[in-house]
Amino acid sequence: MIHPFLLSQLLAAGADRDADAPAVRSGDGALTYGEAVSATERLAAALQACGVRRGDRVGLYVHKSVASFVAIHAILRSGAAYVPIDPFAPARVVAGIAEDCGIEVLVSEQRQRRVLAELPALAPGLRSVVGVSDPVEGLACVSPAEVAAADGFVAPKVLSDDLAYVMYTSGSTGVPKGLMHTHRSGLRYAQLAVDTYGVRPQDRLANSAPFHFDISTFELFAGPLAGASSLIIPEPYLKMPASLSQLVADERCTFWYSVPFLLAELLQRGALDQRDLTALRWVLFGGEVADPAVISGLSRHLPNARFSNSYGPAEVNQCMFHHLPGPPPLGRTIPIGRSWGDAELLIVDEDRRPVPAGAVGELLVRTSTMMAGYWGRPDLDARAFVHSPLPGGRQARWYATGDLVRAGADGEHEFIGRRDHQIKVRGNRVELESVESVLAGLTGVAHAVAGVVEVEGTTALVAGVVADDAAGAPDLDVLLRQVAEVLPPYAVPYRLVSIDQLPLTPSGKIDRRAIRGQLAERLATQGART
Amino acid sequence: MTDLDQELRTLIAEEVSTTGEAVEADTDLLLSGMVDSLGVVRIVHWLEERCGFMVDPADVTLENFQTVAAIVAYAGRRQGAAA
Repeated sequence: MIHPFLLSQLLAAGADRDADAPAVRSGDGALTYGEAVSATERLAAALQACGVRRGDRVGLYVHKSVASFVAIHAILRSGAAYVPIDPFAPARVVAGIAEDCGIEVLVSEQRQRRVLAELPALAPGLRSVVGVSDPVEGLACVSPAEVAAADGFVAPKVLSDDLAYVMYTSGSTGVPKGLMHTHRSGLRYAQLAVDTYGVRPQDRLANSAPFHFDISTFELFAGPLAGASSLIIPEPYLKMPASLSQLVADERCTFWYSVPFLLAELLQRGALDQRDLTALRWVLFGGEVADPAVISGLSRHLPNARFSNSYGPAEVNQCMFHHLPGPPPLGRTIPIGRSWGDAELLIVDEDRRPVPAGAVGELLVRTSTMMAGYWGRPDLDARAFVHSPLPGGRQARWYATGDLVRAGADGEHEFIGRRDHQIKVRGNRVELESVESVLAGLTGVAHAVAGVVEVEGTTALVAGVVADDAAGAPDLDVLLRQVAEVLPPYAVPYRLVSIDQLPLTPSGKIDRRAIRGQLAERLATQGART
Repeated sequence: MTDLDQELRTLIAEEVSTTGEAVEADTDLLLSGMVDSLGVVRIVHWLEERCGFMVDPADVTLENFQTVAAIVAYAGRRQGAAA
């Protein structure tokens, strides 16, 4: 029996337990653990033939499929770290991540060919792309047929502290930052998740989160650790709640983990009264604040499901959990919970001194599931990590979350808000300043301001632009397309509106409270684009 | 139905998608990244107004909404059933 201590051993451990057990399933087929190990080692051999070595970063730019699941485990097996990139990201975003992270080899697919063709000019460090049938000029290409024939995989020496993945997230200057997780922090997360939620070999985990979103590590790693199978849901289903609910019902999924936004979509448009979802036994949600009405409404359609709120910035994976005792009372926020695993929590004031019991302060966390730091950004590390003495004089490194929380007398925590201007758009972290700085850099724009506005019964990012008088009124459609070329899709505003001037507070700062109202009003009066 | 086809393609290209690419009848609206979940809702609302029928959420499926051709076919079935 293999006891995995690396993420790269999870599939082999599963095969050792039961090679014929189902491991993964998606639109392109299904694999048992035995088959998944073979497929993983073939791709890992192909990566090694491309020159991939322990410690390298390999990019992943693919849509959801069995092949994408295999690719992640193959990259880890080769001794490298995987760097997942939004499959809908434009060429400049892909190239920006490739250059920042020193990616020389990218695993991709034929479908991405148009963007891949632009990469050699934008990311000169990129050498090879694996998984495309037709050659891409300027890149060494390895076709799926060549991967299928690859052999000679040599298991590299990999240690727990080796880098396992780098996930890029919005940075306040418009430049994304890469969070580094090691095999140790990733595996520790998987172990805690399996224990907390009691994942068993017969479970079927529905993967809805994109691979560049941290909660996807639940299905990628906790699933295999438990010997369970994962359903990798193709992206189109996520935009069609009625198809999504049908798939989850047909596949008899037992675990669901997503951002609350998707749960709201399922409740509103998922035709749940026509679906048999009795197999679902756990619904986990996290990444943004959940509406109690949505959870309460869902619980009526999911008779056998327990609900659990998971809390933790991607920097620490997860550090709190709250199992809901029943449908949550309306009008009260759902607690983010109590300490998870070995997480130590400290709530501090602006001078980083512990606040009195029950007071609101910034949450500091230290836990074994914490990231190693930001890729190549010691300046960000210095800001994110706080060094504080523990009782006994030991120095400890805490992650400063930027989240304002309050601890109740029962040990349950409540999320109050943010210290900065980071917002969540359908669970994706967006620094408003990053959107604003990109917009303000475009021709014809003097100032820009972004905020979240209610649209079509849900919330969406909207930005207002103040025209640069010298250049005349800018074409908002053109601006929006320019923004879409440089920002990841989730950070692209749903709409741009023109505003006369920035709303300012008496002290001259941007009045973020006034913005929402102004943007909503402009959206209503300026209406549709063009 | 060709009117509906053209109107839908214009709506998606000009008001829903930010990719700036042309929309063909068989373009995969979802895999191409042209339409996100908010975009789906917009298309449904537009269709309801344009065609004068209500769309049951259970009908908003990949089968009925993944391409313009599929949406046109769905609208045709709905209008045929009502006639």
